[in-house]
Amino acid sequence: MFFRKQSPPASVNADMITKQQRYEALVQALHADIYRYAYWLVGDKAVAEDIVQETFLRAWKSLDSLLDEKAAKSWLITILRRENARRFERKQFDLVDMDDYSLADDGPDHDTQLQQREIHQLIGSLAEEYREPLMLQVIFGYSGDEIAEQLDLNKNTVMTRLFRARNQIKDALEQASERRGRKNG
Amino acid sequence: MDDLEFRRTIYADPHSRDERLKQAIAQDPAKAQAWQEARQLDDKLKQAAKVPVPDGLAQRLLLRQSMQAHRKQQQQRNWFLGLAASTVLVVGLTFTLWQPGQVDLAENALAHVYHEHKALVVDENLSLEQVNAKLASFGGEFVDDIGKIYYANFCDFQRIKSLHMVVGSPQGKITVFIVPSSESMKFSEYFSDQEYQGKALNMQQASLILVGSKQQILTPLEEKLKAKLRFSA
Repeated sequence: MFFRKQSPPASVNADMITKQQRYEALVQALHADIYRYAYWLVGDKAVAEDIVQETFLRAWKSLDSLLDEKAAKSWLITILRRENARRFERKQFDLVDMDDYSLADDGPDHDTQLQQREIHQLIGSLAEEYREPLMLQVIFGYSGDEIAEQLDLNKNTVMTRLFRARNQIKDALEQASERRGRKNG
Repeated sequence: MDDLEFRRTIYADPHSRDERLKQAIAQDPAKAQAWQEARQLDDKLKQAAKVPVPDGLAQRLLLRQSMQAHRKQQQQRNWFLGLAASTVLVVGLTFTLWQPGQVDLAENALAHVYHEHKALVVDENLSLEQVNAKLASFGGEFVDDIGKIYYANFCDFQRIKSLHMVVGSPQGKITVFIVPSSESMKFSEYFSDQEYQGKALNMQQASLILVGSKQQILTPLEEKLKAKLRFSA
């Protein structure tokens, strides 16, 4: 019984190394988009990072069952959403108040930055049921079918929500520019 | 494609490759314009959605995982050490607790026959003096020739130093054990298993145990050895 124990650790270590490599690749490839998605889900940078940490730790534990990057992505999103939902079970949050990203001096010109900031706030003010499919499409490049599968909705519902999300943003932007036009004119 | 469907399509997915959408755009400059605007809006959305990722997030994710893995390994190592320690403890306890326990002579004798099977094969052709030299450590001796001695060596009957011999007889080779008496012996006169049979004789200072195959008759040799074995008080 004791002698048999001697050889396995070597192969276990080898498995650990490849698992480690796969995990590192997964983190490098997906952490940015997963973080962004988390941010748009929760609207808070610190909470988003916490949830991303939890999500990736879970990913590590189940890494062996993840076969390809596409599956990993969708799996991470599922875990992330579950973590987020759990957060709401623990504590009922007030209305999500999106963090403001301050304007950088060396970024695009001021008008563009202003508009970016406006759009940022508009995305943040979308209802979650609109914001989520929109972010899956915009961040991950998911198709309507993929979003429907990820969110467990039917495709028509998804397409309607995507349409309404963009429509709301477009309307809000037009109203804002009209207001500016009146002020300036 | 009517206006409503057109608007729904370009706002739901500005990058749609729908054929009817392409036709509508090609036929109507106003629609082409709207499509263009929808795609521009989408670019802006993409820009806005790309919030900056905190510095070093990837490193922190990797660090946290490796800490976790390390902790787990440590736990496993501790667990293993714990197991090893308790195994040693159990083995130690077993030894000390078993020590005063009974020594089953029959069981040990058979075990020794199987374990030292070579004893039945070799021929060391020992002299009586050589055997008596060994027996002397138990205070015993054979006072007269006992026949051919193929093998004689000390063995261990659960910590009791004993003599393991293979002796020739008209019946063939027979294994003989001489085990100094101890308080904690379980003694059975006759014993056997599938292959061997045995006979034990209590001689006060020691037990004389003979083991042979089922066909062999042990009594003649037993009588002979008993008659020639003496123990000094």
